[in-house]
Amino acid sequence: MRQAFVNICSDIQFMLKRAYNVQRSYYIVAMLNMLLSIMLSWISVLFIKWIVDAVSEGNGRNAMFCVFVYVGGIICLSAADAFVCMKKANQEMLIENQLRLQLAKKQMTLPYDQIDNKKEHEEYQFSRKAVENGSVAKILNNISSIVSGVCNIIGTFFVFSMLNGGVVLLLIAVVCVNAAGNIKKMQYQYEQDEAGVHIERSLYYARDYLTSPVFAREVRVFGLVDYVVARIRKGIDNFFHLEIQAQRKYYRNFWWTYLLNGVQLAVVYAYIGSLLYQGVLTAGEFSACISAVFLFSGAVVSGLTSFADIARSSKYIHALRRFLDKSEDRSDAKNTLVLPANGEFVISFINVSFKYDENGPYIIKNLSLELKKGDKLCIVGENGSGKTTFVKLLLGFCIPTEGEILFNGVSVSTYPAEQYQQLFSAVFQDFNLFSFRISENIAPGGGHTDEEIDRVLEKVGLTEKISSLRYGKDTYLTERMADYGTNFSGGEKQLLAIARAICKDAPVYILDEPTAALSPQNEFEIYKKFHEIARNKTVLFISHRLASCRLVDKILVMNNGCIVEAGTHEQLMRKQGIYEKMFSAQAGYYQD
Amino acid sequence: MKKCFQPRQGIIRIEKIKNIFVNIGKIFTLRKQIGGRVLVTEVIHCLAEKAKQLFEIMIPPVLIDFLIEGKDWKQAALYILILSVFIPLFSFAEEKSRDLLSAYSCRDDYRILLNVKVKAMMVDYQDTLLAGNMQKESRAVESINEFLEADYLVLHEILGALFSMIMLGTVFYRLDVLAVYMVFAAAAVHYLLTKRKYKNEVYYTQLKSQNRPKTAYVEELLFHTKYGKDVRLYDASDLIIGKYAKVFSQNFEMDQKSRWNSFVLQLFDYLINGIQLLVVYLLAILKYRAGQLTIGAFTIYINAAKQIYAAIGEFLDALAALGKTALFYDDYVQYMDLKQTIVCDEKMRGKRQEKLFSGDDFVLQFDHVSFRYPGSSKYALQDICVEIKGKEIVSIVGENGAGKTTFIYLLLRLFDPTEGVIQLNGRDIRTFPYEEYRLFLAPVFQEYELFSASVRENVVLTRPYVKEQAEESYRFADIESRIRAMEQGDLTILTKVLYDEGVELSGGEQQKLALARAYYRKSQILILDEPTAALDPLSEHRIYYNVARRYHGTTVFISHRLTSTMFADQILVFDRGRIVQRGTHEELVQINGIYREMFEKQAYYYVREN
Repeated sequence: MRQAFVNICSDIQFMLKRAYNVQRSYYIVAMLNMLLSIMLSWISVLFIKWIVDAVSEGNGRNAMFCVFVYVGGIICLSAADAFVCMKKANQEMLIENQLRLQLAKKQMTLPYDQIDNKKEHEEYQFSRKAVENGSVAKILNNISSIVSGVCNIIGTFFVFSMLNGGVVLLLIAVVCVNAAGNIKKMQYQYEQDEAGVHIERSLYYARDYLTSPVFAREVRVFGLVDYVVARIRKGIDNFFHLEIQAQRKYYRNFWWTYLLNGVQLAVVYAYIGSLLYQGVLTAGEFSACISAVFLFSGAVVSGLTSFADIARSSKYIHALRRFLDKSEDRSDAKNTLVLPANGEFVISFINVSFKYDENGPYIIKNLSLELKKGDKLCIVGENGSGKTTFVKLLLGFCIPTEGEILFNGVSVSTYPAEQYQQLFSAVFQDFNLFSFRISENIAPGGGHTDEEIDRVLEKVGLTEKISSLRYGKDTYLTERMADYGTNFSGGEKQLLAIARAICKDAPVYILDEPTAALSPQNEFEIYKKFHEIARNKTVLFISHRLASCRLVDKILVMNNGCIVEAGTHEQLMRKQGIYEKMFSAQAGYYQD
Repeated sequence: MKKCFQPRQGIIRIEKIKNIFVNIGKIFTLRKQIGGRVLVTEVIHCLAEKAKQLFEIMIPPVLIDFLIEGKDWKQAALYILILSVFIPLFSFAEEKSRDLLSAYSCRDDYRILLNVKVKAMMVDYQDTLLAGNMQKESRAVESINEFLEADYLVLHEILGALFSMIMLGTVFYRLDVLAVYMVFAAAAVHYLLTKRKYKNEVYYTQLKSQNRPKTAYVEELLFHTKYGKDVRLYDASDLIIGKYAKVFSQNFEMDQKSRWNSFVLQLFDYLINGIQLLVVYLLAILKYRAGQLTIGAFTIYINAAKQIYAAIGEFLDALAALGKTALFYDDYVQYMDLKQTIVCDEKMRGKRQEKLFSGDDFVLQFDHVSFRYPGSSKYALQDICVEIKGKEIVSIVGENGAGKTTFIYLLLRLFDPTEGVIQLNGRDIRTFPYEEYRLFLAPVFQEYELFSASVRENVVLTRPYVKEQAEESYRFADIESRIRAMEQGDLTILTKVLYDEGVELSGGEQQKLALARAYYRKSQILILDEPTAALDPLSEHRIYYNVARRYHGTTVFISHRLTSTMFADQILVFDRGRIVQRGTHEELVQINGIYREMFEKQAYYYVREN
């Protein structure tokens, strides 16, 4: 319990510090807001008392004066408050946005193995929840509410100490009673939140993903509308049912708080009423006291509720902090990667084994390999033999479970991932293009002239297609980000991905099924230009199109996470192993 | 870009009252359709809230009168008792019903959202590709939250306000006629200001919702880890953040403007409120001085005036809000009424559909079919004439972008031809009910999708499950051994999205599963778009063997692997939207043309000597 309280306080501190970093004036604005709201709530209490007293004393002029000041005060304070609230809302949006960007930037620059990880995944989802729409504003508002609640409480004490000592004791009793009830509520709410997570996720999945454009064709052609509807309905009903159960349980457990409330009311009215009866208080003071007591108790409740709210978000804020604190470089990444003057390098895999899961199977088993500058390799193997995982290891997207990967004799993990990845241009089997301009897809990092981009487009044979588009290479892919966009076919997308790799012009090319969607002509062109494209480069092909094996110097056959055959095309054909079987299966058709 | 920001014409014009009531009526009907049991709860909530307010306002001043100068404390005690019993009771009723209403509201929100999503799933496929369409859908979705309040507004706010007015009216009439006029005048001005405020809100909400698809996309890019590899390798993080920042600043600017407009209107509102308050106080003081009120009554009347003003204000606000919800409802209707040319008969959905006919004795004909994507000036397909007979194997080849996939989509009736007719046994396929026609065909798309469900569910989908048929499909797709190797066989869950114990299949395995899915349907025509792109040579070989030798139905497939054309009865060579060659492999390879060129280029690396 105590630890939780300390944690929540440090979360509050974190939020406030971040807010300050983004918008210096936020503190001032927030405090003004609090001040104004306090004044607004007190102005009625005080002035009504004064007005009523002045009226009952028969002092008409005084009363009128009070009324004028009161009304004028309300107008000015309200206007100021509205203005400040507006500024505050704007600033909260900016603060939230900054935090979101910080999280995103972190996510995009952390070493990939730290993201692509089952364990880290949940923490990352929590971090995202901490910055989703409106959540930061909510937390900041809760903090303000706690502070103004405290101020209200102090103010009330002050006012009452002037009036009557007994009332002060009453107030303290009220506080204790309210606090006890609310703390229990807080704990209860916290436990309830855990239960609904999976149901909510299922509902969102059905609602958002299954109805998205991604499934549009399958839904229509396979007639899946009813299936999707059923899943969504089930999600809605489960969710609703859960909610109703939670409410029922809550009221079953906490009905006594209303009883308590009634008792409080009775005691307060009775006590203050008796003061009025005895003539200790005037009529005006009576009203003021009643309002003040409830103002006070309301402040206590709202303060506690706000605290409880922050407590519920606490686990998300914690995840966010932990995530933002992660370092972009591995702890031992102290070296700077420098290519020697002659550009020579060797990447060595030394007895590397890898598995994704602690309890899972090894995907790569005791693999050793050397990749030298200028090598042109092709890796083949059946589906599931580990080729793609090998590529991820090579690129530093995975860390070996056993063994090491060395670059020029030094362990790759001692280089910052950013520097190491500068060496590679890759086309993945599941590559992603962005719904931005075509030119932005080819050179996302910028730094390439129009001519360079045109040259690259020519190399992959897309020049004609691009010039047929309305805005040429400034045309957007799809209409997700623009009013006008073009839709590329599967093969055209693949050519674009290849263009992107060529544009980066790194020393090592890794091509994972680069021609899978290409027509024979396009594939042939790419192969033909291959020597030109790959001159002076180190190239690693992964392909089921064994034709590509004729372009390389060495072929490696992977099976079950190991390299089982290695050699030139002729050597492997003579061997009559897996390679020969695969090649013959494919080539057979052409050798009529 | 500017085009995005043009609001619909109807926003600025104030809706006619009649239209508002018509829309409100429709919202009520919609509400009734999707859920019930809310009315009673709303009434309870309304009554409880008003009763509580009433007691809180009325009783304390009465207490003052009883207690001041040592008058009747027994009566006072009675009133205190009433207060402390009824107020918590009303609180309980109010809060419980409010919580219930919130749960119902959430549920109903989702249910109406479901309607929108169903429409999104049934809209013509070509429309889903358009930006304008995405925006309409987004506006419809955002509008639900806004118009769902209508029945709550009507019941709660209006009735509640009326209730307050009636209760307090009994006290109020004793105040000056002047005061009455004052309060009504102030309320009228307040109403006009509120209407302006709502107009402003509607405008900006609709504007922002048009931007929603963009916002959602850049947020996905920012946060979804699947883009991670490409983002790192190609240093794309700054580009993405830049695009996001631009979208954010558009949204932020809209929010700022909206808030500023609201603020300015609010200022006038405070002024009006202040003047109203001033007059009431002054009049009350004068009356007290004239001896017409006791001190307790003084407080009562001040409060009563405030309450009347608030109640009238609430009532008029609710009317203005109804106008607002009516406008939002229009957004919903606009999307739901989108014309569909490829229509699924509502009554037929969900019923076990029988095939159009069984057997392989049919002819599918493309009769001078041309197709243009909406908004494009270029024809994707021109003057296509094709005949596909039952049991035929048809292979479609051609350059990337030549129109092969578009042809398939026309065959599947994802698109309708711009010109020409597609006929099945002499009858235009547009005359068949779509849910019957699609049973005739089973596709494997180039970009297939598996979802979070068991292997079996992904393969069987909505067809009845037959064990032998499923196993036959797995064998056909060469994935039987992989499934048997899974812990729970074909009941294993795919993807880790919802279940941690789910299984992620490799690219090739996924492709095989998509093939099993198509095979399971036992449709007359199997349509395959690059079915072996992700498969290793041995798997590929097995699949083609199964398709060529073991499958006895009609197959239409697109493949760049020209090995697959060997066993085709008919090869269609596409080039720039037209069919330029047709025939069997033997025939085409003799002619000097595109086909031969393609074949030789592909064979080159397989047959040449080093």
